[in-house]
Amino acid sequence: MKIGFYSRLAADGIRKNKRLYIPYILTCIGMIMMFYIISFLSTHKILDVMKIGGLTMKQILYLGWWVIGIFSVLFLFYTYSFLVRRRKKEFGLYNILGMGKRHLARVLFFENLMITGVSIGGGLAMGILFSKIAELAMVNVLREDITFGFSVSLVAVRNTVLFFLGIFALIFVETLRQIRFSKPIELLGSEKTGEKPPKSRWIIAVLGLLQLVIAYAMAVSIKNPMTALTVFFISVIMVIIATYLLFIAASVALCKVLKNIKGYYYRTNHFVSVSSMAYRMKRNGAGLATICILSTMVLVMISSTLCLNLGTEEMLRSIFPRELMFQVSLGTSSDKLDGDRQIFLDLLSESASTEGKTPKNILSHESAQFAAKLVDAQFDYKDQGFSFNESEEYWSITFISLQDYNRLSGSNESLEPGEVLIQTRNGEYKNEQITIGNAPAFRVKKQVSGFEPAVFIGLATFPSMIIFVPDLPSVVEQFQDDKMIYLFWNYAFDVGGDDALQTRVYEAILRNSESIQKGPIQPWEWFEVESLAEYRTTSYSLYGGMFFLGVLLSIVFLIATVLIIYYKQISEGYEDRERFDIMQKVGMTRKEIKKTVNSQVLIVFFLPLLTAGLHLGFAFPFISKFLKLLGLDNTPFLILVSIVSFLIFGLFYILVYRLTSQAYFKIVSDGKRE
Amino acid sequence: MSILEVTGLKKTCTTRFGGNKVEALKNVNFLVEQGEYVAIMGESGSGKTTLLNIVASLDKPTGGTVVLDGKDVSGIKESAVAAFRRDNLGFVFQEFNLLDTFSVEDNIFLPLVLSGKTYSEMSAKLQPIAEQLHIKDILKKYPYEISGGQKQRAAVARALITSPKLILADEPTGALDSKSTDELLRLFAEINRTGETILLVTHSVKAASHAGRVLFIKDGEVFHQIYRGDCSNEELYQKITHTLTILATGGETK
Repeated sequence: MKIGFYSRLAADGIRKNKRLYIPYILTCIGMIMMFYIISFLSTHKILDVMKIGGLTMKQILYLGWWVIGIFSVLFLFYTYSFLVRRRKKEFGLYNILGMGKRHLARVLFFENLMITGVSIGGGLAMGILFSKIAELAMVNVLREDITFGFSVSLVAVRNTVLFFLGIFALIFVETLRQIRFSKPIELLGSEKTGEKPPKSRWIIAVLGLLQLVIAYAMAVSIKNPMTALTVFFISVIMVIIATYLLFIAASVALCKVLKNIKGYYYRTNHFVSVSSMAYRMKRNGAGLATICILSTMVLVMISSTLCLNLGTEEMLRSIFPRELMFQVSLGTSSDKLDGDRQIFLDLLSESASTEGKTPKNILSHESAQFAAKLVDAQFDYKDQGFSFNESEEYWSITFISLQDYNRLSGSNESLEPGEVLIQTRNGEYKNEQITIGNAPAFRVKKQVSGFEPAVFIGLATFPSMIIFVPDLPSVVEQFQDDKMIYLFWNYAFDVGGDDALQTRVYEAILRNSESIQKGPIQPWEWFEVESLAEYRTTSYSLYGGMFFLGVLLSIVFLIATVLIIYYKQISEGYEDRERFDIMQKVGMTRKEIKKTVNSQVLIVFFLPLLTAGLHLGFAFPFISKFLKLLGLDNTPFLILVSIVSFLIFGLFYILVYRLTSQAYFKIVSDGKRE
Repeated sequence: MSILEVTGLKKTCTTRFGGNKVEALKNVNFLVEQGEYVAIMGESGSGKTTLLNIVASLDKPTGGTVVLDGKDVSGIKESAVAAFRRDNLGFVFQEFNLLDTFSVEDNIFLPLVLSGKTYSEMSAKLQPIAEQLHIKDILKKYPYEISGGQKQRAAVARALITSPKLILADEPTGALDSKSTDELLRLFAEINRTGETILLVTHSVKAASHAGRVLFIKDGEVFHQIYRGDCSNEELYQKITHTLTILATGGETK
């Protein structure tokens, strides 16, 4: 009986405040849905079935799982505290009517119980419903061709339920704490303690601005994103703090300035909005800054991961000039070299012919390759100790003969003994001399570009250098003592056909070579092969996975952004209602009220969007350099993708504002009728 | 010449669930001359606030007409009502209705800003009014920083600044202490002497005793009226009390 009473009271409370509770519950459902989906995917069978990219995807999803989890805690906490603030008056009334705080706690308990039940139930239902779509999207992004029946992951359900039960319990405890430490009279008046017009804090405004400038400068001046990741993260945090400072302090300062421009301030459509903005700017500022930061995150994530995903082909082409690339160690007995080569070539064409193909677009040359650390303008190839901090000095060095260079690039360069041509990638080499170990230095005659090596010259994350020398065998001999360098024959070609066909050819080559090696003569010591098809799968599982995660996180952040915007509008609507009521009495038409709303929308709400655009602009050099490291060197493309992402996001943003400012206007102008 | 003519005014309110119809105003007739100071008295629920709302064009009558300065108020188009109200009427409310987001000065400027006046025009208009109402020192302050009496004087200034044809006051002394009440009533009389027409709705005898004429409303009709004639405030007070006693005890005339 008593329990019935409290639960009824709780249900009533939710129903009467549905304008506040429904969006909150929807947000909870949205968060739980996303959390379930990401838990579901990260434990999905497909990731175990996938040969290559499964583990990568798993790690990426796991990262996203953490981000969504942490974000959910912070965000739901924040939103619920806002809800409680709006309801304190009601609690105060119950309190004065003779309900003890213990009874209030009971009401709150039922209220939270209901919200928790509905949210978890609804969230799981939606999550299970949409998990199939997410699964299809993931399979699609990973370019896999596997289908699964509809399934529900019990582990994911358990994790989701436990995690969100924890969050809701925490929220409940925090609410109790808030109620416990306040007096009834405070509860009654808490919403009406109209903040005093905030003082304009010029120092904070200036500090914020200064910090923003420094952070921007830091982000823009980063040269190597791998070594400067820490710097970038520091600048990101600085930008976030600066955004808050600026929105909180500078917005108030701006209002003060606007107020002092009499010609601007005393206009029908500016008068009301500027004054009400100044009044609540302290709270507004934090909300707007949050909107701004979430928007920036969405923009950066979407534009960079989309770019990676769309640019994967280009990236692959920059690393793989041909579909299959062989690096063959022919041994040292040079007298039978040509014959051995022919056996290898026959192997290739024979294997290709089983699929009805012949090797095309052949690239063939010899090379010698090693890695070395650049210390004090000297390459040290003996110390192979490697750490990320030093990656800037860690070079991949490839020797190729001038003869091959001239033949393949169709040029006619000549070199004196000791002279070399060099071609660098992902790094700059400015010295005129190259010293490697104890060998005599090479003189750099010229830096060239555009040579396509048939050798995989290393991950795009490291700087690499091709050194074209007049006499390759003697150079190899020079370093032979340390057994650090070998002469290879590089042979690359296109098969033509899809990935599956390429893979079949590749496997045929491996099979056939084995039978040759089992024979009486071994024409080669060993060979390595790089397959574009294989690398493509890995790349798509990485970049596709990142894009997929970017989309998932963006959905979460967008849900949050929409809710913040909505709550801002609603809470301001309630606060402004009384005010507009007075203004209607003093002689303001509905039309003028609408105009005021629009002017407020213009001034306040587009500020976060524009600032997000600015943030994106300053993050751009870093993103661009980062993508370049991954092998995607196409700045115009990135610019295009960023602008398109921004425009689409802007449209979405405008749509949300249209809808929410309608909600606001409804509250404001309905005041009299209720 | 009459500035306000109310003839045969009727207002029937329907309760929320469509059940009972309540006649708030049955048949109200009266005239207010230019420069007059009229108080309308009646008990709670007698329809006096309904009457004021109709005169203020905040509400529509069921029947009858309100003519302000030769213009039928109920005939004004919905879109023009707000502007009409702004230009012709000044309001003083019991709850002051000052906006806490504005400084006192900006609160007073509000109707002028809505009419699109420039700052210098507004400033010039404010000077004499601020002087008269003794609010010069608090112009830059915010409503939360000043007392009730000061708030009400600011509200009066806001009503006066548009130089309205008629000032409507709804229980202006209702939320004030006795000292502030005296001060405000003295100001109203002073404003009236400078030529403003005031229509005051109240159930406070003291407030009504400052007016030039007192109308009594009961059960939706004008029941009686008293002219001040040569009476002092105290004598008028006596008369009003007397009338109210009759109204309350033996007034069942039909």
